Amino acid sequence: MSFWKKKDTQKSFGKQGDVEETVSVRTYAPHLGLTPRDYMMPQLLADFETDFERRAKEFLQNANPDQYNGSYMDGVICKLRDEALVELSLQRADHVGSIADLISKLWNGDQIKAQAKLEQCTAELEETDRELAKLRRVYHRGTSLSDEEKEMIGA
Amino acid sequence: MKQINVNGVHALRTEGYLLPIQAELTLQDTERAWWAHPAFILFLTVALSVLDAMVLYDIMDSAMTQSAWLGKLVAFGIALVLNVIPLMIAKLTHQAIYNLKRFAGVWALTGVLAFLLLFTGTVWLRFAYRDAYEAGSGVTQLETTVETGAAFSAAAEENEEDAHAKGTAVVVLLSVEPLVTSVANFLLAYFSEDELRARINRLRLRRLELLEAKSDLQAALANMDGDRQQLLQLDEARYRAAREVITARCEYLRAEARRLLAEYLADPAATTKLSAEAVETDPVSPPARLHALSESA
Repeated sequence: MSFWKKKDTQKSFGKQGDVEETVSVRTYAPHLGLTPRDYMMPQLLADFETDFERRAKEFLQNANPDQYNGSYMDGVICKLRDEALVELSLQRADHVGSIADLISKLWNGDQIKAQAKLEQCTAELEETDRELAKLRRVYHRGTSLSDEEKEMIGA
Repeated sequence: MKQINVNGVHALRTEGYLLPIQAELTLQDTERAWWAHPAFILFLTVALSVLDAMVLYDIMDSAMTQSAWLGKLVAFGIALVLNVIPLMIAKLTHQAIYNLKRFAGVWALTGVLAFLLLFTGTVWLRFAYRDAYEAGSGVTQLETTVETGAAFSAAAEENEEDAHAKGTAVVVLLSVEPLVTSVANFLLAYFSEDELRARINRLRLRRLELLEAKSDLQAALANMDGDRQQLLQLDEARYRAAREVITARCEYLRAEARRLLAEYLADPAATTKLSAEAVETDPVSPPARLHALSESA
């Protein structure tokens, strides 16, 4: 289950071209399938990549470089990469925050609820076992409920 | 993602055996005979009530001067009560034996008294109209008034006694019939409706339900344990992979820039130089700085 809404223009890493299919997987706990969304390719870098060839050719036409100008785009690439990494760090902070806070709170709530239900279930099971044993004694030994209760109080 | 194992591996799929609750239900069904099903007892109660009502209506018709419909209604009502009271007495008897409810014995006794009162009333009524069942009594009366001979008188007396005995037999039979049907109803209800047994069966089912719920909850709790850490680890791995993808793409762009320059210059010497540059790693070049950035993150 995805946690954040994805913008249509953004692409996740490593999933381009793959055909994704939503599959329902049954779990014992209600929110076990929660997970943060995939990391998204920073938009600025993606746009730069798309338009790179045109920009480079335009530069070459206008700047008239020679063989010693191989690093003519390195500065831009380096800055864009730094910015993309910073954006990725922001995404990482969001993910960690959501795991530690939102998802974790949901799971903690589920855990508390499940634990309480388990205790209630265990108590009812013990009570049922006792009641069942008492009724079986009444049924098979021909005694009455009051006899059994007196016997239990005596014991 | 393709869904391959829809219901888990083959070895874990549901087998042909019954689940515990279903098995318990089928086991409990074996305790109940076909004649002990509530539907059959209801049908029998109504059927026997109709039979009793017909027997009762015969005498009601003679005894009451009201309309025929009222007679039928009263007869059916009395017959129904005579057949329903035993059902209640059977349940109260069980409750009194096991001491499941307070004063159940007193209520059972009250039920018996009510039944006996009503039943005695019907018997009394039938005996009161016994003459109606004495076959040929009207003819004998007529003959005795016409004939005066001593011998004939003795024969007539004998005939009258005989008719009287037959009438009594019919009265007794018709009186006992509602009692027998009521007793049959009581026995059926007594043997089929044991409240204690029903409680035991319900608790046995509840026990299985609770065991199943308990195992489900334990499974859910086991799944929740440690899942947060696992998720953090997974996210970190995906973060590192995303950073590597960005680095690789930037490296590709650097190489592409050099290729475009070589293509623009169209000079073999320049191409050689630029191709060599595209694959070398400069200590101050973006990859080295990127590595430093990754380490700091």
